[in-house]
Amino acid sequence: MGQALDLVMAVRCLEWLLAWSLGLQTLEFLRIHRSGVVERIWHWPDQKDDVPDRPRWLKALLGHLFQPPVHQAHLWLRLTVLVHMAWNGSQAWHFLFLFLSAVVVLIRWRGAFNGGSDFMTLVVLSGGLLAHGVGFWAHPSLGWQAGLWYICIHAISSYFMSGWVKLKHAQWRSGQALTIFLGNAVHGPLPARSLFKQPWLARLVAWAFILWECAFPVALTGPVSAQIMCLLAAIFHFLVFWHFGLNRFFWAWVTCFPAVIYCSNWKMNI
Amino acid sequence: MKITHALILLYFVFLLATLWWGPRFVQGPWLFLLRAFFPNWKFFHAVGDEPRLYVRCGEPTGTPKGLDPGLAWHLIYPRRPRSLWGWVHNPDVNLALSQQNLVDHLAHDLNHLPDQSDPRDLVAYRLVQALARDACVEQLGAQAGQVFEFEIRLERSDKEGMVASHTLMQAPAVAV
Repeated sequence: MGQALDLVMAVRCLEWLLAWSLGLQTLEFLRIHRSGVVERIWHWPDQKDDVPDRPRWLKALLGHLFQPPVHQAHLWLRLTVLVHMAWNGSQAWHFLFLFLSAVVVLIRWRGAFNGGSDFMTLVVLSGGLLAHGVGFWAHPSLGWQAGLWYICIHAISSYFMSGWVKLKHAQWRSGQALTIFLGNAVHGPLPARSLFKQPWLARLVAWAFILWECAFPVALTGPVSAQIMCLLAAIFHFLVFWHFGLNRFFWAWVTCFPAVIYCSNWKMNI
Repeated sequence: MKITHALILLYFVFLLATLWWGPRFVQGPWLFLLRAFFPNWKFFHAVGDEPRLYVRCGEPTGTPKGLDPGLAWHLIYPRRPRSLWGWVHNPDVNLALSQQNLVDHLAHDLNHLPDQSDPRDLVAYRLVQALARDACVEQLGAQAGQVFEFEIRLERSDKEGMVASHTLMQAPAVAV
């Protein structure tokens, strides 16, 4: 605890975690497509009206990419690229492929499959692309510093903004919103004797989350505070998974932690 | 490093601008499909009316209503048992949440539908109709030859459960 991450280790950790997180997402997609539900509900001939008619070639290309065998081959190729990246370290083409692949999958799911985890995964992929882009024109280490900072600022602002909007709502401040969201969650409804129905406990937990999220920028004061904040964040995301079933959020945000810990030592790195 | 900082700063100015003008800005079809590029990081922020999908199915009555009005409605809402394995592999729960997102999108589109427009032209309508059909077949055991209906209700909850509900839209009966 308290050790700063050097640039090489931060980048490798990020690559491993990204490969793991995106790999889990890809395996889930493969399982979902195999069930046939995508073709029954998200039937592309119905859904393609979402896509503007021009340019025509793009709509035709998407139609081709979303044919079930082609889409599944795409997902298997993505898995292969992730394993290759985790094993060998990233190159520009890894991030370019993964970025384009993520955009295509997002379009298949009308812009988002799992909301926030899609957005954060895209942030990490954009950060990787930025790193390789800047690295190509300047120096690889400068590129990765830019990429890690990009990811770090997004991660920190995600916690801060999430806390801030809760703070503005009276129902969050009273704890009532927490009880309602838990009751409507995928593992709900809350049992009649649930502790979360106790107003004092709901208020205490809600305030703990709000204050911790709003305080997340403290992570930038040094490696120790960054590691404590990331540890608390991991516990928070696990609780979100446990109560709301959002497993992808856990892995998508954990992928950002190497960037947060690396950037927390900014006095030494810049 | 100064150029990099300037680029990052520029991006965040752009991000703030999209937050500021968000509702008007993110309207085009491409911006809808690529909205992941403009995250606002607002999760579970406000309690309000939540869209819910209700379906019912049965033998066609031959009347304009299509189905016996006394038939019970069934709520189609993601409820799944908890599992630690889901921490690494959770396709069923994620799919169920994604289905609920379809319902949320349809409710949003209905609320912003211009007067005289037909909801059946909405992509979200067609996908929710497919979801309702799938739920009738897979969960309620509907058979070929039967018909189904769905409706979108807006429900408000407090800590004890639902306290208010009103129907936003009822779809006409169609064949399973």
